[in-house]
Amino acid sequence: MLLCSCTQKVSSLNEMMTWLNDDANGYCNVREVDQLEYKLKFMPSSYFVLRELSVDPSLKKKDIDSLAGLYQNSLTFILTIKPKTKEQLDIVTTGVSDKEEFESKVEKLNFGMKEDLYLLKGDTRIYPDLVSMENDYGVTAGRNFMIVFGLEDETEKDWITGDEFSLYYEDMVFKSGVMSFKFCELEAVPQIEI
Amino acid sequence: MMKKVLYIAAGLLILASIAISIEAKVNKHSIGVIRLNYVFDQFKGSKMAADKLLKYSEKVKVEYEAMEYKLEKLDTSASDYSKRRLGLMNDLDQMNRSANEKYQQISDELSAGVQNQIHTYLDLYRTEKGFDLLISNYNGVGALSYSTNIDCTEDFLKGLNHYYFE
Repeated sequence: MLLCSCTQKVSSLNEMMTWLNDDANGYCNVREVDQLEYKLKFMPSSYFVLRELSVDPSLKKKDIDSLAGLYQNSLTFILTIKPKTKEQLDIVTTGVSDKEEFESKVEKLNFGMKEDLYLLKGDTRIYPDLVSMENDYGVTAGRNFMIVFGLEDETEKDWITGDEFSLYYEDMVFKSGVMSFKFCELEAVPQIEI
Repeated sequence: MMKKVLYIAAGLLILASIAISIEAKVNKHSIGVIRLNYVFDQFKGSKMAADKLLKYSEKVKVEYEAMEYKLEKLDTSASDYSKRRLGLMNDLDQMNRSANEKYQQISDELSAGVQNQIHTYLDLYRTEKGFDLLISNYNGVGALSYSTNIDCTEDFLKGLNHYYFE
């Protein structure tokens, strides 16, 4: 595991997003099955702190530390499921033959994803406390899911600097099977500079 | 003079044999064979799908046994015993039917998922290796004339597991 004391610094949400999207840092993982792409992004607590900062730039270092403390006992991921090509249609309506099937798909995506996702580190398996589908009212063909895991004794830092871990998704909606997104050798998250 | 002609003839002969050998190699294209049954059997995704199905069966079994226990423990001396027994038996029957339906649905969904993963990776593998692939459903690799068959099952399986689980 790479633990660097001289970590990079970021001062805006955009800089943080660019850093997170850089494959070399290990926070992004992509899988493709048939016509769909599954992209999983690990969102460190610093991202949420920066988001608060972007709303209220008057926040001081003390407030930032306090905000970071609020998020340190959880792990957040964003799972994006979208078609591989731009020409493809909405993932929710594609392949649906009747109203009943559509209702069941929508219900599963909104309320039934928790049981199909889990984190595995060694023999420890944890299920998410929250999975929320972003409702974009059909503006895009894909969907984003925010997945939050609560940590009991550990912190986010323990997970980033510790042993490798994987997020498993047992897809029961799009016929894409079981897949895992492995996180290892994660770079230390950049420090927030204000 | 005669010696010189012989040397030239020998040289031409060597050149011709090299040309024939190169031509044969160019025409002899490789065919990769993948034993699909083995892949389905050994793929981590198949094993995990089977585990998920097993977990569902176990969960249903526990619920079913709890219901059966309720039925056994019904107070036979109660005035509404027959009515309650019938109600519980109906519940048990309904539970059994919906569990079977759900099991079939999960099983279909997972099988389709495994198939889709294998087919997706098959396309990638074919492009990456740059040769024809033959899908075999039996363990032997058939001999095709004028071609080289390479059994790439293990290599394919390794790549498949890596692609979806590493």
